[in-house]
Amino acid sequence: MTVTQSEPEPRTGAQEPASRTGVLTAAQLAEALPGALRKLDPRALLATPVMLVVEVGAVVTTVLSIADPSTLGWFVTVWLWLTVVFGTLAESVAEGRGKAQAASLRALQTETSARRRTPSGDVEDVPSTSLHVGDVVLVAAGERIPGDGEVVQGVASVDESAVTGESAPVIRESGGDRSAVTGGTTVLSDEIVVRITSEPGQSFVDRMIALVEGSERQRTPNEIALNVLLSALTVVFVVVCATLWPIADHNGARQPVLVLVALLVCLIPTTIGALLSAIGIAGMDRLVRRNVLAMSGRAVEAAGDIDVLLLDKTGTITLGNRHATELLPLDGVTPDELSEAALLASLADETPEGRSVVELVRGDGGPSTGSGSVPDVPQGAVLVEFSATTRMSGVDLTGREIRKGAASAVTAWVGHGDPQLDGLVERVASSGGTPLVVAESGRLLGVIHLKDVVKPGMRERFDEMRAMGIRTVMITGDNAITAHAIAEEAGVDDVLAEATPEDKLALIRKEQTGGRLVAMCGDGTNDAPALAQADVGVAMNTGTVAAKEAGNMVDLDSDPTKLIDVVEIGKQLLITRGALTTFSVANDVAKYFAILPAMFVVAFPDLDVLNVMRLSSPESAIVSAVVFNALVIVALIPLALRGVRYTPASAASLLRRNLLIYGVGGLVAPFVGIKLLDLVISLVPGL
Amino acid sequence: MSALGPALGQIAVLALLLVLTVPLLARYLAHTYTSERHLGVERVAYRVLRVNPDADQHWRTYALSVLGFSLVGVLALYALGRLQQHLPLSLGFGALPADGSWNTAVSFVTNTNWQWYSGEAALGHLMQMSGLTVQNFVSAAVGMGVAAAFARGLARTESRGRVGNFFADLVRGVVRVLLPISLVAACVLVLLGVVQNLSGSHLLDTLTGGTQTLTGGPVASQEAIKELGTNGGGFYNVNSAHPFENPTPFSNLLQMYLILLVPFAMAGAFGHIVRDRRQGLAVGGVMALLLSVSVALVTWAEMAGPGTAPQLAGGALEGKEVRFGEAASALFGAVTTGTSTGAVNSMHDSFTAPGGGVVLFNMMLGEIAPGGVGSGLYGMLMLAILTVFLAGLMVGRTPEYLGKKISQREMVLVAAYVLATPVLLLAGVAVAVSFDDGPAGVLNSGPHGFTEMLYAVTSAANNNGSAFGGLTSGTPFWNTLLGLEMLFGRFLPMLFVLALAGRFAAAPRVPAGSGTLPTHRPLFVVLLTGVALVVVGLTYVPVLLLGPVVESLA
Amino acid sequence: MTDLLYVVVTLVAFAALALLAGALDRGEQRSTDAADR
Repeated sequence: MTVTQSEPEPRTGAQEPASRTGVLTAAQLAEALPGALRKLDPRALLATPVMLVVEVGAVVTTVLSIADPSTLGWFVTVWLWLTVVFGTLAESVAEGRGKAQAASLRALQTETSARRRTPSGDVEDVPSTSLHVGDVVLVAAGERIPGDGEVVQGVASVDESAVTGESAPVIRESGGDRSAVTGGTTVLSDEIVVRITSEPGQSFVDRMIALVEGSERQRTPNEIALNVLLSALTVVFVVVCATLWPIADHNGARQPVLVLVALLVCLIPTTIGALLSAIGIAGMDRLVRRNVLAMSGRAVEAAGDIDVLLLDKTGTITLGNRHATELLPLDGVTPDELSEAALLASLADETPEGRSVVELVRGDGGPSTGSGSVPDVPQGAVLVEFSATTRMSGVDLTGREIRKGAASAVTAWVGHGDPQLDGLVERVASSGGTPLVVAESGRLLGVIHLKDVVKPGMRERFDEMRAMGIRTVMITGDNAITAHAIAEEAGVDDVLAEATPEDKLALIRKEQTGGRLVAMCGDGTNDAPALAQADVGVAMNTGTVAAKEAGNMVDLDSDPTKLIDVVEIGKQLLITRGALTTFSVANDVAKYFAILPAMFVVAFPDLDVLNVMRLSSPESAIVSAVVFNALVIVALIPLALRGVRYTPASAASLLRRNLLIYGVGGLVAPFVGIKLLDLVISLVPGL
Repeated sequence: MSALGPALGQIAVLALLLVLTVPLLARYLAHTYTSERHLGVERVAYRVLRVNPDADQHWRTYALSVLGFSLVGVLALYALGRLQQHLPLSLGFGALPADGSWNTAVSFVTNTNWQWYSGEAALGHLMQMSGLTVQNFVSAAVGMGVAAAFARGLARTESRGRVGNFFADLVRGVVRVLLPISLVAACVLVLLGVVQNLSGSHLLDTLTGGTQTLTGGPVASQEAIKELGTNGGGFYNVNSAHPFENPTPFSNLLQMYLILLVPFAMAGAFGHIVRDRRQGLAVGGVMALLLSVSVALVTWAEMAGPGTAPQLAGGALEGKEVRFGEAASALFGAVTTGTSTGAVNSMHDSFTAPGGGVVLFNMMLGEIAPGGVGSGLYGMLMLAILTVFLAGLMVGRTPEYLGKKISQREMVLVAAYVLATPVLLLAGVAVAVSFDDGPAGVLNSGPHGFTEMLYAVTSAANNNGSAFGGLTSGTPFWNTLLGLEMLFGRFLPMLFVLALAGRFAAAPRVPAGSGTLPTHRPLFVVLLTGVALVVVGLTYVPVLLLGPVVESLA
Repeated sequence: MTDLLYVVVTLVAFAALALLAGALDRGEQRSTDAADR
């Protein structure tokens, strides 16, 4: 069996090429050019009527310029064509950003052979492309998993770096929530039996390739609605320019068709028309760069509208593990006695909880340095590991036995209880913590307070969410007291305690009947119904096939806080569209001031007063406006790719800010730009 | 300037009257269009019309009812004009020509009241009273009904596209709102000196020895609804410039008050119907803002605008009644074109070029300041939805207005609404200048002559009815062209509005959160004003440039 | 004769508007169906 090993480009944030940071390079433009020229096909432009009109206009002026050559005619013609090309170039550049990634993913699809188990129990070698849903294959260490599937037997460590960019291998095992494997990933150890769950060509990697390349991009509802508006504006201005022909003629100011076409192209919203699809592709790309795969654009847009965010407590709001935060000695026990016992008892405990006890006792709370006042492991110590039957761990030294564990287990080991101990245990539990009792050789010493530790910065993130108008709900299996204590500390708005999967689903339904949009993330099979019900369901890549199928996004990093990023990207996508549309429409005011006086100043010399920019000649004014119109597209490509900056704030302040920049800016910028261009263009002889 | 005091004074009085009464009428209108109960006289009307007023109509049924009712109106009015000589109270006038009769029929049914004829020289009292005055009432009630249906559509959730009952809206609008107010207004107008009788024409010898024909008639009763329903069709040719229609500055003020009363109150009623009065206030605020700006501009143009004669005379008094003066004429001009009232108390043809340009632009904006009864409200709301779409994107949410998502389908309807009037208007102007019959009726040459045609088509397409003057429009060409403009200019937008009302009525409501764009704040008011000026206004810049702008700069 | 012409023009205009209302309604149904799917 041959496995073509290709070294996929590691997708780490440290060395991102320029294409990933939104800066546009000349090389990138050159690379995108052939694609841009292919997109000039009118059939391809049908989707953006604005640009189709520009192309038709360019054809008309070309014909006119050939029939009756003039400097003005050729200038306008060339720049109209450039306007169309700049539009397709924007789209092409946006697509190009996904190309490299797609290439590395394609390498995973190299055909391999698979060992398929036949119904009779034999094993046969078949090409991976001939595997169908339900086939069962064997994959051993060093082999590549031939298709998406579910582990039905065995445990293995799998290298998924090609798909997720995460170099540490992950464990995949049958049953439970870690059973899904992705085609193209490599088994590093052991052997597993996998049941294939996707048809050839429809695998996860196939979908990823389609997504990053933008080839299967479906336009989102809002993008379609915006396109309707842009088309309507285009029709209005087509009517304006078409009717202006007889009307100007009637007023003794007959206009050449060439000039009317130039006017039309300047008035229709070419800026946003040219950049609209690039914005959409770049939005998806931003998601991909954060290792989130959206299965539909609709979900990305819905992310911007999210009203309620359901977050699992463990791993999302709190660090996955509890940390020791306090030692509570019983009467008659000195703090040092308890500390020493707790430390010794934890030496054998390699769990994060155990390590946190060590850290607490060593006083700095930082990582264990091994140079504290207490030796690491004393000579002759026998470590007693935690077991499910004793529910304790500890250490046996010469003449000393130290144990720590759940209150009931330790008191049973000691042989007697203590009312004061019960009080301490009760106190810790009611504050949301977990009590661990420490005892030495039949003597109860005290209690270690293990606490859920809220991830640093969560409170700030939730404050941000509140500023965006999003309510956060923490979901946990803990009891109500513990849950509320943590919710309070993390600063979430609401909490669903002792939650079962059914409770989650019911909560989502309840919020949705009120018209709210709900986002959640999950990984288990029992999360699947809730993921499917949520408007935005982010499945963890480590999760089950069922969860990944049910959600409309997959997070390759399996980081539940990613939801917050997803919301921001969704909002940024919408803001970018709105900002550029406003900019585009506002530009028209200045273009009128440039072109209309130029058109009619011969027939009506009084109109020269309206030439507020003091453009040098009518021809130069028209060309300057057309050139500005084309160049502004190029100038805004980086913005379209990067997206308008989004800072969480109330709707009113966001609107005020964006309106000031893109509305007022859109009014002013072309006055400056056209004037500057005119200074240059007026140097051209014949204009 | 000494004339400035009275000019500002009358604006202040007008504003005060409106501020005091509009909120009351708004509450009453909201109740009228949402109450379940019927008055006795209304039940009689429903029985005569054979309709069930409690049937909640789907928007399409509502729209077809509007169309059917209007079709009957056009045909009846057309017949009345053609058969005038055979009917009583004709005052000896003969039949109207076919094209003229059709134009008039369409004109009054569409709430336009474009008049190609001289009322006192062509129409008998029967045509005036049972034809035109009746349409003044019902066409206004139709517009109010459609606006109410739209407001109800926004207020409802998941009602499967049902928006209310057209016939109930129609009858209630007439019986509960228009009739009582016009009755009172007519009596006050009579007190202020407006004529009200059924006599014919009187021949008089004038002081200079010539003879003059004076026609009396039921003027006050027609005058009240002419203004209240933002109709504008005058009894006399010169409309509210005629001393029998509008004898004093006080009757002038009352007429302007009547014109503005219902359109502003509809905005308030909208707030009540959607159960958020601040929304009505915001919409009314934009209307008031646009109206204030145009009043200021026209007043400036007429009192201190450019032109050799006005500069020398200290004001543009040509074509204006001395008893009103420049300020009251300018105010009347801004008020009538800001609404869809075709009334004039001075000749807009003789306004200064910028003054004429502003009243023209008022109509081009789609008459939303504050617009016709009903049509002003729904026109403004369509623009508000457009604004929400643009602004909503900029706050990072898919846009929604009053909890209704604005997606593809909604945008199609809004875009069609925004497209309809400019396309009709510009195509109409292009047709008018392309045929010899168009410019044939134009009085002046050059840009002013073009403005005369532009104004006529604009007035018709926007259902205003205001005449610039100078254009002899009583020809088959103009009557037919303007008739078509009026017909489609009225009902095309209305269909899009009703379709959107039905869509909203069927849609669920998204609750507002702190991430939702507020649509009642000053920022939104400014933005909506900006969108109206840029998105709608920019469409007309080239034609305005060739007409009033060139003339202003000359 | 001209009377007939204007009556026909009126009827055709209103019929076209009624057809448009029907078309808008059908478009509405279609988009609702699409949303339901």
